[in-house]
Formats: sequence, C-alpha cells, structure tokens
Amino acid sequence: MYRPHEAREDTVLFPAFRSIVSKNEYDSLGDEFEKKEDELFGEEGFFKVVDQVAGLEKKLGIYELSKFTPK
Amino acid sequence: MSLRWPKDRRDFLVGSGVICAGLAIPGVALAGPGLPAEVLEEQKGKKEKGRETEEISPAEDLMREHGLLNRILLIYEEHLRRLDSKEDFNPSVLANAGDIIRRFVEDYHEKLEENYLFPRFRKANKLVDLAKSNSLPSPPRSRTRASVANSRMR
Repeated sequence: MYRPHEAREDTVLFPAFRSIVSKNEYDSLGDEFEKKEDELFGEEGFFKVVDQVAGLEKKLGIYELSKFTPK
Repeated sequence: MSLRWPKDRRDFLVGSGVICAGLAIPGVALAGPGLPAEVLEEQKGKKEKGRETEEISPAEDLMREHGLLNRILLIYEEHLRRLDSKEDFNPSVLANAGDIIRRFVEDYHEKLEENYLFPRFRKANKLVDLAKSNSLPSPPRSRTRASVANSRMR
C-alpha cells in the first residue's frame, strides 16, 4: 500500500515541488515542517523516532546491515 | 500471550494496528518513560555526543521520512517471514512498529503531504493526477479502526 506511493513521490512529486513554489515559500515550508515535527515529537523528533526504529530492529535481529550484505 | 494467526498478509499488516490499539504494552509511546531501555540508552548516548542539526529542504524532509517508513516496513516484513515459517516473535515489537506508523506516518507525514504538498500541485496545475492519486480518500486511522471493528466481529 505504501511503497508505490512513496516511490512515485520520491522520484516525481518531491523533485518537482521546488519548481512550483517560490524560493521564499519553499524555505518557509521547510521551517514549518520542522516546527510541526518539534511540536509533535520534541526537539530533533525525527532522530528520536529513528532511534526507536533502530531499537526495534535490534530486538528483531535485523539491525546489522552485514546481515543483508552479500559475502 | 497468544496471537491468532491472520488469514493472509494483508490482514497481518492491518492487524498490527489492532495489536497496537488493543494492548496496553509499555513502550508504545513515541517519547517518554515507556520506551524500551535499549532505546533510551541509545538516545542518551546520542544526546551526550550531541547531534548536529541543520536546515533541510521540505523535499529532503519528506524523503527521509519515507526512509523511516521503509525501515518500519522491513520490520513488518521480518514479522511476515516469521509468520510464514511459523517462528515466534515478540508482539510488543510489532505493536511499537504499528504505533510509529500511526503516529509518525499517518498522523504527521501524510498530513504534511495532504495539507502542504498536494494542494500546491493542484493550485499550480502540475502533476494533478499524480497528486490526486496519492491523496488518501479517507483518514488512514479510520480505515484502521474499521478493520479493528471487522476483526472483532469475526
């Protein structure tokens, strides 16, 4: 469900986004996103969530990338 | 604790939200004292080291959030693999992953796209069909709740 949408967004919509808004609007949106993230998840909220995901990966035994690297 | 095996993979993915909503498992909250000690320890280490923050563009912000989503999907896939091979798993890990999907992806990331990104494509009349097809017809959580209700009725 998620992957087809995110793949298209990463390769088409997001790269095109800069071209449809002014530089000022683009920059202020970046600030707005950061502000919302801080409000919901605290300062450096993204990294906190990344850490939580890493913790879950470790518990599950899929954290080490060597597990996915061909030898 | 015993888990009823879902009938198929789709039930499993949707059902992880059921586990998350239905069980009061410590550590489900995204921040605060309920986090696993391992995660808190890691966070503490990062804080002590100090993390450099720099401004990033809206596109980069959204893309890195997709990276996070992909890591959670890998966690789901590992659970699917274990289900297929009838291996045990700790339900709290799946519940935590489902909670992050709900709070970070559905309640935050998707709302950024719905409120800030897609309307601007419509306004600029660019890639309108793609923006529309990526818009959600209804709030994801409503779908999750509906699936919870359905699963309880079975």
